[in-house]
Amino acid sequence: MKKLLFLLSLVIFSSCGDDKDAKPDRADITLRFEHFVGNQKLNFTSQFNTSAGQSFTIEDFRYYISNLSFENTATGTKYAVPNSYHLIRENGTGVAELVLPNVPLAEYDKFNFSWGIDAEKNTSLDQTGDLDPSNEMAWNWNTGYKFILLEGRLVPSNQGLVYHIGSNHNYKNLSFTIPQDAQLDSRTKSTMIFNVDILKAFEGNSIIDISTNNSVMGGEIADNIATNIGQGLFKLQEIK
Amino acid sequence: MQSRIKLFGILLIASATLQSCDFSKTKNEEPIPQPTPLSLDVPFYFGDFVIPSNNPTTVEGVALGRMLFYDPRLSADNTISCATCHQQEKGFVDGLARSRGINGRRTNIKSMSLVNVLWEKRMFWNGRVTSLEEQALHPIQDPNEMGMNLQELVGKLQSIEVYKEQFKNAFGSETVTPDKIGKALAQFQRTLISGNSKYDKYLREEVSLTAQEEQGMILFFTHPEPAISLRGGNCGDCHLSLTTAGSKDGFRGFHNNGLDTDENLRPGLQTVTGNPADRGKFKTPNLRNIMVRAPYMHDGRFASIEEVLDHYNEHVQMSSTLDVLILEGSNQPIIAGEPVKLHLTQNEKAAIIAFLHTLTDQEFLSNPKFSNPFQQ
Repeated sequence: MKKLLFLLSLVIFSSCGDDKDAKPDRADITLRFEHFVGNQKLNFTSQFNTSAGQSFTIEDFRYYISNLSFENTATGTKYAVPNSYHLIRENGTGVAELVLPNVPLAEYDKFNFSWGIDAEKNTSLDQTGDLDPSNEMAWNWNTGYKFILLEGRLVPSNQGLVYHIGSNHNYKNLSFTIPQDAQLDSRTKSTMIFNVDILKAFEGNSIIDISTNNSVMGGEIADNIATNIGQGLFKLQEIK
Repeated sequence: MQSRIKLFGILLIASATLQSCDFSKTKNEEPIPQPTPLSLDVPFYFGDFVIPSNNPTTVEGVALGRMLFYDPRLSADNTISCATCHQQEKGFVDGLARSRGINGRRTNIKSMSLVNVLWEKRMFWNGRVTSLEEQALHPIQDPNEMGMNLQELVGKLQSIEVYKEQFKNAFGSETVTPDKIGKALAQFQRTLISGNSKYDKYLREEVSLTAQEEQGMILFFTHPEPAISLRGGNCGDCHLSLTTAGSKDGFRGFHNNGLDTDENLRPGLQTVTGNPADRGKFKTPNLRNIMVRAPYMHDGRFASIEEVLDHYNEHVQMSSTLDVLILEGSNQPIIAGEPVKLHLTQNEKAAIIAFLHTLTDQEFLSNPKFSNPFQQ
């Protein structure tokens, strides 16, 4: 019975028994993707402009990130999020969140993820969740996933804007520096805020004129957009 | 020892709390047999689905649902059953542009096929309902369909001897409720799984397609990109690749497919969302068994599949909510302001139709488990 009481007390008290000065072992880390067009927060009703002055609207925006990991490059400590394939969907509010539960904490200085789906997963149909091949991110019956889907209309012509991009060679590994003062390892809940500016997909290493390239699903322009995305779409803005 | 008894007591109370309903009712009676869980045989590539936890699929529930589905007594004048407008051999539609209701009335819309609804998240052409349980009760009450008051229906079914046992077997008591009617019908409809068409067998690598069928499949699932000389039929943007159904994600499975100009667009999804940007959007139907499901579109305006292809190829009407994937779908460079045409060749159209034939699932259309139980 004593043993039982002891166990019971453990169960009851363990949740609030943490020493406040000690660093937590694990944390729930929220990735918050704030979607912008330039400086304007994304929504599905406003008009936006490219730097060249072309007006447009957005009706849908979604993309895959995958193989997330936290790393301490000095010690080599690395935590790879298991089964890490995430479809980030804009719902018209300009913000999409993803919670990574129970991330083991350490003094990480890098956060890594890839844009797109790796070649191995990109050809299998037997998958569920965010990789459910019956979702509209699948290209077709055998050729994997669109890494990004962006749809809208040009204003005032009402021509469509259609960007479906994602071939195995477009897959990009991205790495973000976690600032030393971020104190990710001192909280049980943290939020990493990413600034995602859609214009960066069109105005980077290559400048893409959306009025003439308003529908892109493959080929050289798609590769140029993919390169732009790899170089500048995602910016780690803040950790709190 | 005393403490051990206390602990046992606590456990007993806990288990009594968990099972309290069963305890009180069955104390001095025959134990009520639990319905037998029924596991559904689902193709792996159809993706995730959810069965509501308060309505698990059971052998007895499905049997009851099947009876209700085929019973014209569910209508006000005993002439119309669910199966009047959802006929198995026609892929669970009725071959009519506007379905038939009680007293010779007509609906203002075509009946929807009931195929692979297990995976559906929004029901009806305008998506107004999010569960099969709720969906099932709509046509029963619609004055142009079965025209029945639910409370009257409860009384009516309660007085039919055979249903007493059926309701008891399926839900534990003879009492009929609208909730149980919806649940039983939903359970039956979840079993209507079509996964043995030639295309399904091709996906499972059991058969190969003919050269023409394969050409049609590739065209069907390809969005044309003249800039990179990629020819396509532009069908798979809405009828997704493995399910040939619309997206399950939010309202992504609803599209304006260019049937009418702005002046003539019916509201469709706008009725549900209130959003003018959703005007003229209707649910993308699953295309399994499409060749036996004429006429086509939500208003049945096209009598043949050839007319459907001609529509998408040559007759798309411009409107402010026309789907961008149709607006930007052509095998030739698109000139702003000009009507959108796909520019498919006759051979390409024939190939797409050959592929559509591979979506016919004869086993599904003649499966005795889905047939009228009153005629056995």
